[in-house]
Amino acid sequence: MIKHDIVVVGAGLAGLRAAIEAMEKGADVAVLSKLHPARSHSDQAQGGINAPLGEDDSWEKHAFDTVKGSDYLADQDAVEIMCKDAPRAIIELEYWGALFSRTQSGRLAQRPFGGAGFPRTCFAADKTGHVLQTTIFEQTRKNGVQIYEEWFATSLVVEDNVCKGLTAIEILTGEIHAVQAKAVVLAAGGAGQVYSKTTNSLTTTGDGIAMAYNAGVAIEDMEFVQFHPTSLYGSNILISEGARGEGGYLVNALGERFMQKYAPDKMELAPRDIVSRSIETEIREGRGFEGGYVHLDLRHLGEAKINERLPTIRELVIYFAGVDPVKEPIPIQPAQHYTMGGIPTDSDGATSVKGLYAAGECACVSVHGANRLGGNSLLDTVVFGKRAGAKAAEYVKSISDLSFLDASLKEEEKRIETLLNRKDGAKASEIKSALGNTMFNKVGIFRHKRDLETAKKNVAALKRQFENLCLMDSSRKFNTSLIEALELGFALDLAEVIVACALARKESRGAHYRVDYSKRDDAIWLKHTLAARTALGPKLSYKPVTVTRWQPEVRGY
Amino acid sequence: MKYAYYPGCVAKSGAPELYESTARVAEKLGIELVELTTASCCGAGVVNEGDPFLDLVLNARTFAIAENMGLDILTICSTCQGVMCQIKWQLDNDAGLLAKTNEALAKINVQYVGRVKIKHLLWALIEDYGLSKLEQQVVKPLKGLKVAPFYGCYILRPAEALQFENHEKPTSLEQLITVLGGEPVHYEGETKCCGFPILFVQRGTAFEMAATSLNNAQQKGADFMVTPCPLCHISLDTYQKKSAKKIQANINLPVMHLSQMVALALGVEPGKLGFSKHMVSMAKVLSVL
Amino acid sequence: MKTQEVVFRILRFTPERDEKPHYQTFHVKIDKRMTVLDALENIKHEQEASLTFRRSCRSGICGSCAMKINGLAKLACKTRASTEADKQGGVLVEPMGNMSLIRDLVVDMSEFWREVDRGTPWLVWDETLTGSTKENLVTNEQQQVSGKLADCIMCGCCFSDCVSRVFDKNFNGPASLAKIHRFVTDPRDKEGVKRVHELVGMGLWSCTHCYFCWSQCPRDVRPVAAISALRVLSFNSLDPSQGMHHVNAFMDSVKDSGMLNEATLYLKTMRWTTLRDFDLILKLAMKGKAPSPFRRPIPKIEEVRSLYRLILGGKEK
Repeated sequence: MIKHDIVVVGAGLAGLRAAIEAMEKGADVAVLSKLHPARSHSDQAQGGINAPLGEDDSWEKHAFDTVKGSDYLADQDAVEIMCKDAPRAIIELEYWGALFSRTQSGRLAQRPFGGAGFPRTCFAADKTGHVLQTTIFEQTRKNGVQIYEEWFATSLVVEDNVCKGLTAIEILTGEIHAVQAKAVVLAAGGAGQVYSKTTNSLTTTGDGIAMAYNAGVAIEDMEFVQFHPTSLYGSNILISEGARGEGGYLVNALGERFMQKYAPDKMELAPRDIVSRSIETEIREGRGFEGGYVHLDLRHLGEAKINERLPTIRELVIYFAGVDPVKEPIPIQPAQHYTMGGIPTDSDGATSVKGLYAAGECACVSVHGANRLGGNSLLDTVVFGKRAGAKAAEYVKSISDLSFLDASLKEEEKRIETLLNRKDGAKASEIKSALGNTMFNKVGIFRHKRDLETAKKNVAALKRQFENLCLMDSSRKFNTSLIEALELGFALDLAEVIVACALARKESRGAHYRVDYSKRDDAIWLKHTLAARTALGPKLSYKPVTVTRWQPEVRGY
Repeated sequence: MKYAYYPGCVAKSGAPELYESTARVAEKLGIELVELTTASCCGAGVVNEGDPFLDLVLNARTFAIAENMGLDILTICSTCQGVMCQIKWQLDNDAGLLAKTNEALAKINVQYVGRVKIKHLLWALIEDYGLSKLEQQVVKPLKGLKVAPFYGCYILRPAEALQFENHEKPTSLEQLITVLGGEPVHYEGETKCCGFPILFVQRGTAFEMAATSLNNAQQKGADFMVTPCPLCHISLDTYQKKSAKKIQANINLPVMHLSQMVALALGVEPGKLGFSKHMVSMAKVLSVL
Repeated sequence: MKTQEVVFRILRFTPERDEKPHYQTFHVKIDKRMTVLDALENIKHEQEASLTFRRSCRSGICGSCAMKINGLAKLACKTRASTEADKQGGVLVEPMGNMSLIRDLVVDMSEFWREVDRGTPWLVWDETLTGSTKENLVTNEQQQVSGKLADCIMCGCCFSDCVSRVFDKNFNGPASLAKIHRFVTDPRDKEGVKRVHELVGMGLWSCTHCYFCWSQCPRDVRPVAAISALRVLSFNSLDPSQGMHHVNAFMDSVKDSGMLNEATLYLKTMRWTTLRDFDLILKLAMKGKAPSPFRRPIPKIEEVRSLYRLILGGKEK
């Protein structure tokens, strides 16, 4: 039996920040991650992290941009906290060694980003995520944070609304462990792999959100899925918003800078939901290139600037699209990118279950509401990661030893045994492929009741097929087929929720766009969706949005 | 074909057989070699670890001397080749560094412009002389002897600086061996390091490196090994017995310098090629030819 | 897109079943764009579910999918299958070297991480700054060297193919030493050059300049160059290691005669350990191959010496 005061699930920015904080506050912390920390998805972020550092900037302006960007669904008290804490959070990373890009005078440089009224995105060329993840990981080595590397969490153990720990597979040996903890901090990231076209890594499968959902936590705002406007056509690898921040143009097949029609003021730097819909419209109306993409043109920036500010992107485009952005425009199309929804928490990362905390992309505080601004996710992770770690450390001081029901472990072992030993059945890769296509085509950028109903049926059918999954690999040691199957299970659970929430929300707000309900309807729909698991599928309820300073207005750019 | 000839330091003292056999090859093929007698040591990557800028400037001086002669540089040592290519690559791609270098060189009234090319004899034979032409000059083919090519490091990597062949799958030595009538033998280690750079500092490791490659080549049936680098030759030939002892293997594989192999095939008498200076006897191979 | 059928020969090892690793052959239809990772995923999903490998980002940044492809360590997601097939007639896929095998293409990287941990792999920062909201002032130029070194994604390719590491388990390895240099060159690191002191004991002089780490690095970090730079710093810090003697002797030799004097280089580096090679030296002498300790300076040696004076100036020892 493994016991710790606090177990953090996920070793990305939020998870490691929480662990460092909790350890500093004296708790016995361990991080559990299915990947080595250096491989976490945070590593892939490119564009930057926001903070109102400029003399003519302010936390109020940053907060307003965030709230407006969220299409007024964000909880404003949480947004205020995040924006006020931003300077401290980022400069802390700088002290820890983050190699941010600088101005001539040696200060942190900031670039303009989508939906921001001021250039407030600090960046490290176009590899900000890599730089920050590396820096935070280095600090965990300094502090001696214990990490259970390549351990896959399979379920949360919650008894009488108290979190007592979790079950996890030690991937190396295949052994299933009971991990007892006084508090669990979920920081396992988003759920991009629910979609076929996603910028997310193959391991971003919504594990944390699904585990909470399966343990009885009602998850929030799952219909709000961000589609990033510029992913590389073909591979859907992310091409950072920073490329547009540095001055890149979006151009259709007719050579037009089409954003003029959709956001004449902000143009390419309108918020992501608007840009994605614009690109998708251009493609649907026949002004895209064959295959379904448009161009991101960086040529006018010049080789020197591209090499200085966007070197990783240049390399990615050359390698994965066979095109040199210095000489030719980049073929791009929108792809799933971020999960605004997740496990509902307060501003300290606490959930509705005692001892269960969440931070990062898997949490829904909610600071991003219906649409996230670029640069706010990295900020979210370190601000709320720290707060969750601190809160969890405080909480565990008052908790004496928790006993762990044996039954939970036995149940998990049985479930996995059954899966391993099934001799015949459905194929995981086929289910995943079908799921991804259904979700992208029917629950994508433009939604309609008809498509959503079809998606609902498809997902239900795929879930039934999943019950009969056959791995075709019954070995125990380092069985990645098993892990991929369990991840698929999580993805299916979340897909069902996303579809249900999208069907129910009869309005368009932020990234959720209903062709059949194309207006935002604050009178009825200025509220968060909550989805709780029942035997008959997700049961929906709603809770109000916290409005402090900014009343909802028409959202134009 | 006329070159500014840079034999390197080892060919002129510890491996005189290389110097001699190169002269014979040049004679036979009508290649004019104008020796750069005032050029200094390339630094072999070691001066670079004392003072990198000094290393740059000393080599840029060599380049400038050749440029003044209006000739390209020919080397017969992979290490010289690799070091000089790296330095040229740095200077050709960094205007600031080039300016700083020329500022120093101005003190001795020399300037490096960037025109000069640097080639190893191996490359010159392929690119400038031509392998089919060379084949016609062969009078004593290698009679199907199995030859293990040892590329080593400096003539292949880093590829950006050397820009001659695919460092992952080099073929220059195989092509040369074939054209001379030999049969190239592939083995694990042909592009690995012979250990020479750490021979004086950590000989145990160096011995293991050399012996492993030699042993692999021998196991594949090689009659002899050929190397374009006299430093590799010291590791592979001079220290062969000691290396073999380190890994407790029975190794008896003679190693030729590239020039010796070419000279033999062109009909030069073995006696003139300095095989007696080798530690591992070439007698068996020579008896076949 | 046009496709060709390519033979993939992949190392297999399932610990519960196999006594030792063996190879399995697969035929895969690949197009010009497919990466080796695409092919592996294809094999796993269509032909052999038990094929095991690590992967995550599929865009060359996370470092999960490092493996040996046609004998050289690379990221599978950044290696084009058709290029490899054209080069060698097929694609040989094996796990990374210098680390023990767990299963198929998955290795135990703890040896790699242990080496990284030997070197204080974090910025030693000024902790009095905690809570302040004013950043350290550092220009892009000041961060240029450390920035490039920090591009390292810790994939292990350099470590896998490091020739020295095969035989010398004390050698800290290219990635770790490059990471140390990343901190040495960061103006904010309080330790800075002091980090160099402990490196001799960690195999600073074990690197043999084979340049495999430079060639195989998917991020162009060039660890070997970092190691040379660390050696320059160690040289300047008057650390009396054998590697240092070697550099000193070489520098002296070139200043003295313009050429490498192998005899004095050898004697000054090896010192009394020269006795180990006494038999060899004797044999070489008899063959007329022992280099003379007296080397006549090259003509125009004054040019060389004046460059030494100009560049080393007061730094000379």
